[in-house]
Amino acid sequence: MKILKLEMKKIIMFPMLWIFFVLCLAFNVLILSDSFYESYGNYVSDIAKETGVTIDDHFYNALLQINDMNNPNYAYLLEEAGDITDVFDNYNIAYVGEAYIKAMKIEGSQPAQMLREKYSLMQERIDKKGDTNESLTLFFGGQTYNNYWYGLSRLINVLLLEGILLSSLMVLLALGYEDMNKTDLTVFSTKIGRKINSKKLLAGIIIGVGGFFILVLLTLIPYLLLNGYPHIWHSSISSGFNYISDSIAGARPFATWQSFTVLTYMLASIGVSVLLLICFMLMSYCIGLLIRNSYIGFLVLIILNGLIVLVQTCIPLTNVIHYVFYLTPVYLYLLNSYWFTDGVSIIWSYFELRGAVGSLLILSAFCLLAGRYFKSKNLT
Amino acid sequence: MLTVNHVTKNYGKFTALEDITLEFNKGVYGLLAPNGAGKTTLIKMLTTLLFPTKGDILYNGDDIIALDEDYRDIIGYLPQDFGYYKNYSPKQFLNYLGTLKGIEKSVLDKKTEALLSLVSLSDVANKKMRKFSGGMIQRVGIAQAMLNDPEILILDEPTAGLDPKERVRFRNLISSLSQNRIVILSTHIVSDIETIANKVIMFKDHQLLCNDMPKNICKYLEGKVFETSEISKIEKPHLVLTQRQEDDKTYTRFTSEEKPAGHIKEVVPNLEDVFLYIYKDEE
Amino acid sequence: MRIILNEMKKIWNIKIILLIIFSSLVVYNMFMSFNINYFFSNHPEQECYVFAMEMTKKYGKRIEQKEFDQFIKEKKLLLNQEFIQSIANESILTDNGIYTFDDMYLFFNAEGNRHIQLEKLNGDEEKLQLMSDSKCRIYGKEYDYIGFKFQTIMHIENDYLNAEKYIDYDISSQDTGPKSITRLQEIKDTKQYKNISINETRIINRIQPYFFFGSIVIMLGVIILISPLITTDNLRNMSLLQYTSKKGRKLLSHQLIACLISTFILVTLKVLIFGGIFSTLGTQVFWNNAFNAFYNHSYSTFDFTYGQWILMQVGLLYLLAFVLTFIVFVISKMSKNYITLILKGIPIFTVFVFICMRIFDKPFFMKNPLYRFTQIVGIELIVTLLLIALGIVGYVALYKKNGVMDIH
Repeated sequence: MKILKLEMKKIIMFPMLWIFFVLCLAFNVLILSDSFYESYGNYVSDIAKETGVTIDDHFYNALLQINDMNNPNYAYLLEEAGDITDVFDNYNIAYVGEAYIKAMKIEGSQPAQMLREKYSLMQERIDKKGDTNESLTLFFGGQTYNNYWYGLSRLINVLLLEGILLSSLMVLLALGYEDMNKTDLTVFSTKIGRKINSKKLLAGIIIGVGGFFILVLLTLIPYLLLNGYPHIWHSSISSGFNYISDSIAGARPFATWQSFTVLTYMLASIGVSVLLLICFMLMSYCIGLLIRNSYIGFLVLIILNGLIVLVQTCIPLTNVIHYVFYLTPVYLYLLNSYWFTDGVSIIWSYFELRGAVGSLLILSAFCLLAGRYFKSKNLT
Repeated sequence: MLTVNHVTKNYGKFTALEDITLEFNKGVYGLLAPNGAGKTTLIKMLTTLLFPTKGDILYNGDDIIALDEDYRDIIGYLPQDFGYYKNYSPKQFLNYLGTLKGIEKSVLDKKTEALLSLVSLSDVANKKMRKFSGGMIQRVGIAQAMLNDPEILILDEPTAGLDPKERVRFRNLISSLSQNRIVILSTHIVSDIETIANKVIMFKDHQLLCNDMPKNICKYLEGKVFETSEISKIEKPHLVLTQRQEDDKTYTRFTSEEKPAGHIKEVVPNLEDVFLYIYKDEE
Repeated sequence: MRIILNEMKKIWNIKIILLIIFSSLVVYNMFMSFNINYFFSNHPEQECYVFAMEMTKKYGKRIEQKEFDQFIKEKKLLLNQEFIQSIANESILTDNGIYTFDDMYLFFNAEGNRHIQLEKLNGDEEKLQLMSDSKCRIYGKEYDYIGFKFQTIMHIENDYLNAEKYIDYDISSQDTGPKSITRLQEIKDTKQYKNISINETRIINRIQPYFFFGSIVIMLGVIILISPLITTDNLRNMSLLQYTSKKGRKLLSHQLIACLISTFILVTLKVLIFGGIFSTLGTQVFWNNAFNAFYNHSYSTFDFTYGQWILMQVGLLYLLAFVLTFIVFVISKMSKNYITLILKGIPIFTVFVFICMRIFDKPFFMKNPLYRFTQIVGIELIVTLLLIALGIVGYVALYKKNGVMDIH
C-alpha cells in the first residue's frame, strides 16, 4: 500500500500534468462558451419545474395554467407539446437495418443476418417503450437535438479524448519515471523488483480515473447548470424530441437498449468512459513495458490505434471480422455518440459494453504477457 | 596561466563558493574536498557552464567569458555525469564532438584513431556504446576531452566507477598528459592525486583552505599521527582516522596533539589523514 | 556545415522516420484518400466539373456570351438525345406524360408539393412512388447520371444569365464588408464572372479537405521529427560536453538551422508525394484559369489563377511548418523529459489544427473566416508571417537566455 501511495505521489507531483490538466479545462471552457446555449431550451427547463417532464394530462393542465402567452417560447412549446406523439407506437425499426444492409451491399452475408437479428431484438425493446410511452417526455422540446448532439454529446466526446490522453500519459510517465531519473537499476534490484510495474499501473489507473472524474465534474457541472439540465434530468433520453440522423437511414428515434433518463444515460456513459480509459491505460502499459522510450511509446500508441482503423477499412464488409474492430477501444471512442443505442451498422447489441469488457480482458492478458517479457528482460 | 580572481558563486541565499583566488600554471592540480564542497561548481565556472556571482576568471589576463570560443578551444572537459549517445560508436561520438570542437575532418579522423588507441579502445571503435562497460565509457570520455589537444584539461571525478587496474592506468595516463598543460583533477579519492598532483587545492566551508604541494599539506599533521592495535586503551583525546587488519589484529590510525601512553607508534601523515582530519566535522 | 549535418543525422533517425511514415499512412488513409478515391463521385458536382473542363478545353480561360450560347445549345442537344434514350426504358414516366427533362423537372421540382403531384395522379401513391424511383434511376449511375447532367446545364445557364444579379445580391447583403463590396464591384466591372474555373463545390468538398488534412499530416510530421532533438540531449546531459566545446552555446543556432532544413526536406517530400497523388486527378487543366466563374458564388480577394492558388497554399504550408519548427524547438529545449515534451506538444498541435482550419478554409477567398473577420486581403499570409515573427522572437529569447544561464 505504501509503495502504491509513493507511485501515486510520483504521478501527482509531476507539474506538467497539472498544466496540461488546466489547459484541458481552458479548452473545455472554450467549448462551453461555444456550446449550444439557447434561450428556448432554458425556458423549457424552467417550465419543467412546474409541469414535470412527462407529457401527460397533468403536464398539459400545468402548462395551460402557466398561460405565458406574451412569451413566444410559451406559444411554441404549447404547439410542440400538442403535436408530439409517441414515436415508438407501432414503430418498426427493421427498416434501419435494411437501409444499412443495402447501403453497405452486404445482402446475403452473415453480418447482414446478424444485423437483422439485432434489429429484431431491438424491436422488442421498441415495443416495450411504446407500451410505456417512454418517448412522451419533454427533454428540451424542439431544442433537444441541438442541445444534446452539439452540447452534451460533444462535450462528453472531448472529455473522453482528454481523459484518454491524460491517463495514457500517466501510465507512460509512471513506467518511464525510473528511466528518467536513472533510478531504474536501483529500483528493480529492490525486494519488490520488477513487480513494481504493477503498482505503477494501478497508481496510473487510480490517478487517471480520478483525474478524469475531476475533469468531468469541473466541466459538466457548469455546462449542465448553465443549460438548464437539472430540471429535465428525469426526461427519457429517448424522448420524442431526440433523434439520430444519418444519410443512410435518415432521422429516427433515439432508441436505447435500456430505458435511460438523461441523468442515468450520462452516468452510464461516464461509466463506460472509465472502462475505456482503463483499456487505453492497459494499452499504454503494454507498450511502455516493451518500449522503454516514452516518446516513441506514445507515438506507437497513437499509430497503433490509427492502424486498427486503417486495417478495418481493408476488411470486406461481408466479413464478420470487419465488425469485430468496432469493439476495439479506438472505435468505442469514435462511436461514443451511439453508446447504448441500436449502434447503426454494428452487428451486436450493447456493443459498447461488449467492447469495453472484451477489450479489458484481452488487454489484461496482453499486460500479463508484457509483464512476463519484462520480468525476463536484461536491464542495462 | 589561468587565474581565478576572488570568485564567489551564490545561488540565492546559498553560497556555494566564497572569495576563491587561485592560479594555475602547467602541472597537475588536485581539487580535493568532500561531496558538496564546491569542486564541481568551480570546475563548471572554469568551463564557462556557470557564471561567477562575483569576481572573474582570467586566461593569460583575459576574461574567459569574453574570450568565448577562443578559450573553449583550448580546454578539454570530462564531466562528472558523463552523457553520451547510446546508439553511437566511440568513433562516431568522437567525430561528433570533434566537429563541435572545430577540428578539421582530415585531422579529426587521425586524431580519433590515435586517441582511441591511447585509451585502448581501438578494437571497439565501431561498436555501439550501449554495450560498453563503465570503464570503457569513461575512457571514451577521456579521449573526447583530449580531442583538441587542450592546454587546460579539466576532469571531474574521472575515476568514479573504475576498477583498481583502470584507476592505475588512468593515473599513468594523466601523468603522461600533464607535460606542458594545466590538468585540473577534481576528486574525493585521495589516492587518485596523492602521487600525481603537483599541488592540492582543498576547500572548507565553501572557502579556499589550502593550495600547496602534498608533502607540505601533510606537514600539517607532522608528529600528530599515530598507530596502535589497542585503540580502546587510549585515554587522551584523539580522532580515529583509518583502520587496517594485519596478523589478526586491527591497527588503528589516529591523531592526537600529544603522543598517548601505551603501545603507540608514530607514523608519517599522508594526505588521507589530513583529509579526514580537516573534514572531521562535515558528516 | 558539418555541425548542422551532424545534428541532422540525429534528427533523421530510423525509428522516427518509420513513425512519420506510419502516421502519414494512417492519416492519409483515414482522411485524405477518400477525397482522391471519390473525387469524381459527388453529383451534380461532378457534372459541373466535367462541363467546366469541356469549356476550358474548347474556349480557354473565358467564355463570352456567343460562345456560351453555342456551348449550351450543343450540350442540350446531346443531352436531350441521351435523355430520350434513357427515359424510353422508364415507361412509368412516359405513360404519365414525362418525355423530356423539362417535363420531369416541372413535375418533381417546379411543383414540388406532394399534394399537387398526387392530385395529378388521382391520389395514386403507389404510382407516385414508382415514378419517384424511376426519377432516381434517371439521376443515377444506370443512365450515366443524365438527370444530374441536365440539371447542371440548366443551373449553369441560369448562373451565366444572372451572374451580375448574383454579384449585386452579394454587394447589397448586410454581411458584405466595404472592402468586399469594392472587390465585388471590380469583379463585376471587369466581367470576371465570364471566367471558366474549377467549380467551387469540388474545391469545398474535395480539394480543400485534402489540403487541410495534408497540412495536418505535415504538422504532425514536423512535431514528431523535430521535438525529440533537444530533449534527448537534455536527457543525456549532453549540454555539458556541447557547451564546453569550441562551438559552445552557439550550437543552439546550428541545431535550429538543422531543424529548419529538416522541416524543409520533410515538407518537400510530403508535398511531392501528396501533390503527386493529387496531380493524377488532372485538375491541372485549370492551372492557368482565374477564379470567379459564373457558376461559383464565392469570390477571390484578388486576382490569381488556380495554379497560383495551389502554389500559394503550398507556400503557406512551408511557412506554417517553419513556424511550428520554431515553436517545437523552443519547447524541446525547455523539456527535460519526453512526457513533458508530449504534454506540451499536444496543445501546440491542437492549436495548429485550429490555425490550419482557419487558414486552409478557402484561403484568399472572401469566404475565408479570417478574411470575413478582418476584411484584409492576404490575411492568411499576414497571420502566418506574424506567427513566424512570434516563433523567431521565441527563439531569440531562448538563445539569449541560453547564453547566460547556468548549466548544471
